[in-house]
Amino acid sequence: MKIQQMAFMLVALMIFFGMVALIYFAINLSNLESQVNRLQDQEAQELVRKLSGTPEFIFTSSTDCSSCIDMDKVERIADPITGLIDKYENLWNIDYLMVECIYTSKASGCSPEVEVIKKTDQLSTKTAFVTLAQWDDDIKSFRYDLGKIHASIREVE
Amino acid sequence: MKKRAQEEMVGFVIVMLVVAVIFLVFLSVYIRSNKGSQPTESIEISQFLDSIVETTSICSFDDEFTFLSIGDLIRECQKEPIRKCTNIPSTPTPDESEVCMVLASELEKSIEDSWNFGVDSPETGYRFLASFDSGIGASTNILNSPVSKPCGANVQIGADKPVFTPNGKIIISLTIC
Repeated sequence: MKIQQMAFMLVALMIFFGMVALIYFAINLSNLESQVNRLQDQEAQELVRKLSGTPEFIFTSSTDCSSCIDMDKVERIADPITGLIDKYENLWNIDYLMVECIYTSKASGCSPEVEVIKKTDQLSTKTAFVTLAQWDDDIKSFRYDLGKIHASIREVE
Repeated sequence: MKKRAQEEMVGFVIVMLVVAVIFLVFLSVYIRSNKGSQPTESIEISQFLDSIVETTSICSFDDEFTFLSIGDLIRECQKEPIRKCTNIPSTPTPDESEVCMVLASELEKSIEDSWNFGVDSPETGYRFLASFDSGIGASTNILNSPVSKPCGANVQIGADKPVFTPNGKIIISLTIC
């Protein structure tokens, strides 16, 4: 009789702890998918931001601006006459690259966006905030505007 | 024999109740830690703050010979809040040419140009805070007028960044919800 009672007790306890473990893992797994998506997004954003630190984009006239990109360099690379973009397209391994001004204190407003690598297909792009640095003749100094860099990283086939 | 069995049943029920209470306490602690008041750290907002402090503002102290960056404007707002930008005409109270007013206006415009806030948008509101920490005593808010838009019950994401001054640091933080 006692062995039966003990067996019943053990089975009940096992079922109880099993249910607790199931609830715990269900809650944890539901968060896992959103965490993975968030981390993938963050990684892509960091990759896009890293592009702004490459020698082809980085603004070097000021030493204390790590988030600045040189708009004169961007415009020169994007200019089809120079033919530079054909060389860089494969080096960066990206399908689309665009630099856009978001906010400027200039009275005339933001300069138009610069499409460095043109979009050929419907691609999912990642975006990162950057500072756009460009010489401004009106103030005879460099002007720093808030901008965004949009890129689509080429996927491995 | 029957009484003893009943006692054992009562004992078992008590043990189950104790375990259930412990489980509930753990569960509530876990849920509270996930839904705390602290917003989730966002790389996007962190990048925004890095970029906005470098951005050129409309404020000049030398009749448009040089313009201050937003980062400089934050430092000036902490150091001398009533100092006026010489290139902006003064207005009756609140004076739109004061550095803190210019700062609040520039921040508001740049944040609203960077995200689409609205009822149909994933982002409904924001809150920008700048507090000075001298290292002694409590930190103080440097912006007199709030730079914010009411939030709904959305998930909050945010980031902060230190702006260093000779006598301490100013922590700027932006929360989007």
